[in-house]
Amino acid sequence: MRFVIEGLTVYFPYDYIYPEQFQYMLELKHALDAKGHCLLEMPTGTGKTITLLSLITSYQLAHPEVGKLIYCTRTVPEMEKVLAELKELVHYRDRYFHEPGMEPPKILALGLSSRKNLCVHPRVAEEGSRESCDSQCRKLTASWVREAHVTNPDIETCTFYEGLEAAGAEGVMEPGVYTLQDMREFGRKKGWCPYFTARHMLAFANVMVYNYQYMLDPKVSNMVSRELEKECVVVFDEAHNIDNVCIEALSVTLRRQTLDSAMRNVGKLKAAVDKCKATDEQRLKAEYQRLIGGLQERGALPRGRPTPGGEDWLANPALPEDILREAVPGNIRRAEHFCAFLKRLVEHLKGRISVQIVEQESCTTFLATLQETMAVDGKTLRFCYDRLSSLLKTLEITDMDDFTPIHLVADFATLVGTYAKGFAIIIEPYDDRLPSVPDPVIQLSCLDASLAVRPVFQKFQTVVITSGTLSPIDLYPRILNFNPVAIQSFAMTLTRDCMCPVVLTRGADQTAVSTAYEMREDENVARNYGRMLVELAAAIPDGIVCFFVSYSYMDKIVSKWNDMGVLQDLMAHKLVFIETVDVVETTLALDNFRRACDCGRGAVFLSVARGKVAEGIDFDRHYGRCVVMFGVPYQYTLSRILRARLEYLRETFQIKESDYLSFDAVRQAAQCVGRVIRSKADYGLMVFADKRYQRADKRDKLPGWITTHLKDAHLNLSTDMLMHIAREFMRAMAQPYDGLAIGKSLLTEAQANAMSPGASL
Amino acid sequence: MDGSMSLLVKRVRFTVSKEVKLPGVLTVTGTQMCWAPHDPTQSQPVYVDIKSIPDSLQRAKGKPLLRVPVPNRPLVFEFESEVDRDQAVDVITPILKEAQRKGKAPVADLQRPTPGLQGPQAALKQKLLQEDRDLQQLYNQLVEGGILSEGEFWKGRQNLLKESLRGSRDARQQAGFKTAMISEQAGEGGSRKVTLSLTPKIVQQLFAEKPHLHRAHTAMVPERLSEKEFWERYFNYEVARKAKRQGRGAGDDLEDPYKEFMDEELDFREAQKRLQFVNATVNLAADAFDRESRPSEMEAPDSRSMIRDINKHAAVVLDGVPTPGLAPDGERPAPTSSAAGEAASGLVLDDLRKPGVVGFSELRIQDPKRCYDGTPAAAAPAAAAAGTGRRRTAADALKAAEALRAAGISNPPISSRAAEAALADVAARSGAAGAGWDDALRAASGPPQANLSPQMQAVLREACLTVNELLRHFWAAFPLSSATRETRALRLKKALSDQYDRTTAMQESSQGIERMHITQLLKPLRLALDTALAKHDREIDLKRAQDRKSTSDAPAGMQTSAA
Repeated sequence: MRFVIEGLTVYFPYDYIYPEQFQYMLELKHALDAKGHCLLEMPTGTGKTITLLSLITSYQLAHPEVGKLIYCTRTVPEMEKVLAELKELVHYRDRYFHEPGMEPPKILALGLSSRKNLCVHPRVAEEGSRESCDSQCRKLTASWVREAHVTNPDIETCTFYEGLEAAGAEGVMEPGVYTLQDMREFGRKKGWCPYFTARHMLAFANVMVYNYQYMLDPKVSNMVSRELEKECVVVFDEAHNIDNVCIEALSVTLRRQTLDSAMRNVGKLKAAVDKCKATDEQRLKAEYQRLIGGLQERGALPRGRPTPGGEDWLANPALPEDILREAVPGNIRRAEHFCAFLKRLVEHLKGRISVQIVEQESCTTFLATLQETMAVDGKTLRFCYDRLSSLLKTLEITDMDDFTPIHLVADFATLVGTYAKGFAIIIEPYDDRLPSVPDPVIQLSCLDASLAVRPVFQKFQTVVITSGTLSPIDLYPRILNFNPVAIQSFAMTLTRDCMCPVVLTRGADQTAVSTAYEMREDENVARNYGRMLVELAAAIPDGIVCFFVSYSYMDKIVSKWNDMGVLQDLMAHKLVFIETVDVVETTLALDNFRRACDCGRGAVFLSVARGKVAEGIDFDRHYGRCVVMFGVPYQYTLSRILRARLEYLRETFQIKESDYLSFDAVRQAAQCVGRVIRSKADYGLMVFADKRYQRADKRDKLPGWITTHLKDAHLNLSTDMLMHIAREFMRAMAQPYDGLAIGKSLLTEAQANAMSPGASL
Repeated sequence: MDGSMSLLVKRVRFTVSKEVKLPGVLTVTGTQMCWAPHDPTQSQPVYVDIKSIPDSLQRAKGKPLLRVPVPNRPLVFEFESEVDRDQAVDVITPILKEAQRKGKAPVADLQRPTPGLQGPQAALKQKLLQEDRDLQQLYNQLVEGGILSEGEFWKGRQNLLKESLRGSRDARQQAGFKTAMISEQAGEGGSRKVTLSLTPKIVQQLFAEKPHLHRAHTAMVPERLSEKEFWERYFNYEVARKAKRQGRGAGDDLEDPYKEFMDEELDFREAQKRLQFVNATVNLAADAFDRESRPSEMEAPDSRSMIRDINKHAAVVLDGVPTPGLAPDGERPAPTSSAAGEAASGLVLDDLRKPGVVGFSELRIQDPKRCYDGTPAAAAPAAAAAGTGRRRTAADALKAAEALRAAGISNPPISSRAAEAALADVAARSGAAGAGWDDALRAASGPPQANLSPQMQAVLREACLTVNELLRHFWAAFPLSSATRETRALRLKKALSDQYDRTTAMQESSQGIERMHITQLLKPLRLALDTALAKHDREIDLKRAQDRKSTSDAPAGMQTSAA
C-alpha cells in the first residue's frame, strides 16, 4: 500500500497496516523532522522492523539530504531478517514506479559482517574461528605481501582481493539489497572479495545493516563507522539490552593464561625486532621518525578508508574524542624499549593477579600502584595500543590471532590510562561459584553505559532506540544520558486475545515453585517443573520453548529430570533440543528444532534467558505455541562487576539496587516470552513459572502489552489449572482467524490515508 | 517394497584379484546392492543396481563365495559363512526375478498413465487436477483441446508441482525412529540386573548417534571382541555413568571403553558441513563469528555430554539413518531448498496480506518495454499507449475474476472502481432520461453476484481464468523471433479469438440487468483480448514489412530502424 503521513508518501509492502504501526511511523517522522533522537517501545509482534524500514526509506526518498540508514542489530540472524524484509520492501516499492518515464528509485543496501562470514576464498573461508580467518586473510592481502608477490610470484595472494583491486574505481556494486549470502554470491561471480567490497561500498550505500559493536565498540567503530556523515539515521533495534552491550564494549578481562601467552608474545616480538634490526634497520628508524610526529597524524596507522590493504586491524579502544593527537612518549618510541615496557607491564599484571582475596579499586589507584612499581605514567599507557599496532605493522606480522593476548593487555593499558572515572578494576582469585578451582582474573569493567554510546549520540543527527520491551521507558534516557525528542510507548490493538500470559506459582502437589536461591536444590521444584512441562508437551501442538535462568541451572535441572524419568516422559511426546555454550551445536539444534516443528513431530527447545537464543531467535508461528519462563532471570548478583555497577548506578543516577535488579530480570523475562509472537495472527501461551511473578514489584515492571493480557484469575495457578487454561486457549486459537479485523486492528490504504487530515495522493 | 530400506547387512570381503580381498560391508536394499570397504582409503564403494543384473546369482560349492554376473566384470564376494551367503541370495533373488519380469514388459508399463499426462510427475499432476476444479477445467479445455501442449501448460505451474511433491513425499516415507531415547530397562524390584534387547534398527540408530561406536565396532568385532562382548562393555559403561551421575556407585576413572575411536576433528568437520545448510535466520554460529571471541563460560562436563547426546539423538531421529547408496555423501537436499525458500521471503506478517487465490497465476509482464523493443520509433507512441492500456486491463480482468471467486468463498466488497465504471457504462447505455434509470442504478451499485445466477457466475469465472491462462502464454510468445514462436502465437491467437466470439455470444444471449452485469464483468477481459489481438496483427504486419524490405533492400531497412 501507499499512503501519506503528514505530507510524506510512505510505501508499505502489505495490503493492510496495524494502527500502532501507523502511530509509530508518525512518531518516528516527528523525530526525523526535528533531527533529534527518539526512544520508541512497540509491543513485539507488531512488525517494528518493517515499519522502521518502510518509513525511513520513504523519508530518504522524499528528503535526499538525509544520509544513510544505519541499522544496528544484535545478531547476524536478525541482520539477515532485516535485509530480507528490506528486499521485499524495495521489490514492492518498485511496482509503483512502472509508469512510462518513471525510474524506480535506486537503493543500495548491504550487511557488513566479519571476514569469516563473508570470505569466499576456498581455503581461508574454511578457518574455524573469526580470528584465524582474519589472520589468514591478512597473510594474503597485507600490502607487503602483495608487494613481495610482484617480485616473487610464488608468494600467494588472494585472487578475490586482487580482483577488487584490479577493478579500481569500477569496483562498485549495482544498486540492490544484498544479504550476506547475496554478497558472497556476488563476490564469487565477480571475482571480488565480498568483505572488502562491502567495506568499500560503505560510502555509497543507502542502507547499512550491521552489528551493534560496529557502532558501539570504539575499536571497531573507529575503523568502520568513522567516515559516516552526520546526517545519518542510526537505528538500534531490539535495544533493551543496549546498556549491557555498551558496557561490554569497554570492558576487558585478563586471565592468567592470557598473561602467560602475552608474555610469550613479547618474547616473539623481541625476537622479531632483533631480526629486523639485523636485516632492515632502516624500517625501524623510519617508524621512530613517524612516531615523533604522532601516530595518526603521520599516517603510521591507517585512517579513514581501509583501502591501503588487508593489514588493518582493530583501532584504538578509547573513544574518538579521547584519543590524543600528539607525539608518542619518548620512552616507548624505540621498538626495543617498547618491548621491554610491555614485558614489565605483563610482569606487573602477573604480580597483581596472584592474589588470595578479591581486590577492587578504581583506575586512579591502580594507576598509582603501577606508577610506583614501574615508573610509567598514564600517558605512556594511553599510547600502548596504538604503539603495539604500529610495531606489528612495521614488523610485517600477519598472524594476528597469535598476538591476541598481548593486544588484550595493550587494550587494557590504554583504557586504564585514558579513563579515570566510570571504570572499576576487580581482581578475583577464583570464581565464587567454583571456589575450589583457582581461576584468577583481572577485570577492567566499564560501569557507565553512556560512555560508549555518547559519541553516537553526539555524532549523528537522529538515533532511534527501539524495542518491544523498554519499560520503564524513562529509565533509558538516564542510563544512556541523552535527551530524546520523542519518547513513546505504544499499545497493541487486538481483535482476539492471541497471547495468554499466566503465572504458575504451585506445582501439581500445591507446593510453591521458584528458582529463588533457597529453593534451587529442592527436588520438589524440579519435579513440579518437569511434570508441568510433560503435561504441556502432551497438550500443546508443535513447538514449545523454555527458558531457564542460567546455563548451570539448566544443566542441573536437565540432569535431575533425566534421573527422575521426566526427560523420558517428555520425549514420548516431543523431541528435545537443548542450547549449549557451543554455538555450532546450538545452531544445528535450532535448525533441527525447526525441522521437527515443520514435519509435525513437535519439539521442545530448552534454552537460557540471557543466552544467544533468547537474544536473537524468533519462535514465531508453529515454532513456538507456548513459552515457559522457569524462574526470574536475575543476574548473578554476587558478581563483583555487577555489585560495582549497582553502586555506580546508585551514586550517579540514584537508582535503587533492587529496583535495577528486578527491572533487569523482568525485561529479560519479557523479552524471552515475547519471542513467540511475531504477528497478530500468531498466538502463544506464556507461562511465567515462579511464585515471585505474582508479586506486584515484578508485575509492574512487565511491559504493558503483557500486563493488559494478564488476567487476575491467571496470577496464581497450579499445574492442573494451567493445563485447563492451556487447553481452552489452544482450542480457541485454533479456530479460523477471520479477517474481520479490518478497521479495528487493521487499516486499509484508504483508512491510512484518511488518518492524516488534508492529505491525499 | 520400499526401495531405500536396507534388507540385509553382511560382513563381506570383496575380491579384487586372487590375492587381494578387501574387508567391508554389503548392504542390500530393495533396488540396490552396495559394498563399502571398512577402510575408505583402500577402495571406492561398489554399487550394483539389482535390475541391471542380467542373470541369476552363482554360488560356489563348499566356499562362502557369491558371484554377481554384472555385464562388464563379474563381482565376487566372500561371505563369512555359507549361511550368510545363502541368506543374501535368498534376499536378492526375489528382487532380481521381479526386476527381470518387469523388464520384459516395460513398454506396456509406460503406456499406462492417463492419456495426456506424461513425464515423471504424471501421478502428481493427476492429483493436482483432481484436487483443483479450476485447473481441471483449464486443462481439459486447453490441453486436451489441443491449444496448449502438456509442457506449456505445466511450465508456469512448477511451484504447484513442487509443493505437492513435498506433500506426496510423506506417502512413501518410511517409519522413522521413535522420539524417545533408547534406554535400558532396569530389572524389576530394583535389582541391579539390567536387560537390554538390541534390534538391528536400534544398533543402526546407536551407530548414527555415536559414530565412534560404529568405528569401534568395525575395527574390533569380531577380531578382538565378540558382538556380545562389544555391547556389554559399552552398556556397562553407560549404566555406570548413569549411576555416577545419580550419585550412587563410585567409578572415578570412568571412561568410554571406545574413547580411542572418538574423532573430534571429524565431528567438527561434519558439523561445519551441516552449518552450510542451516537457515540463515537461526545461524548463531555466523553471529559468533561476527564478534570478538570471548572466553566461554565454564561448564559442568558431565551433564554437558548428556546434553550433547540428547541433541544428537534428536538430530538422528529427524534425519533418519543415511541409507547406503542412496545419498552416499549424507547431504539432505530437501530441507535446504525449503530453508532457502523461507529465507528468501522476508515478510512474515501474514495477516496484513489479502488472501490470494491459490493456483491462479496472473498475467504479469515484468518489463512492458521489452515487448516493444523491436518496434521502430514511428510505432512507439502507439505501442506505449497500448502497453499501458493492456496492463490496466489485465489487472482488471484479475480483479473481476477475484470478485467472482468471492461469490462462492469469502466476501470482500466489489471494488469501488469497478462499480464506478459500471455506473458510467449504465449511464451511457440508458441515455439521459431512460425510464429504467433508477432500476439500473440500483442494480449497478449492488454487487454483481446478487444479480447473476450461480451458473452464470461459474461460466464467467471460467471464461476469465481461461482467457488469463491463454493471455499468459500468448504474451510469453513475444517477441516473434523464431518460427516456433510465430506458430505458437498464431495457434494461441486462434484460441483467443474463439474466446472472444464466446464472450460476445454470452453477452448477446443475455438480457436486461443481467446483460449489463455480464458486459461490465467481461469488459476488462474483452479489452485485454482486443489489445492482444491488435498487438499480434501489428507485429505480423511489421514483420512482413521488414521481411519485404530486407529481401529487397537491406540498407534501406537499416535506415528505417535508425530513424
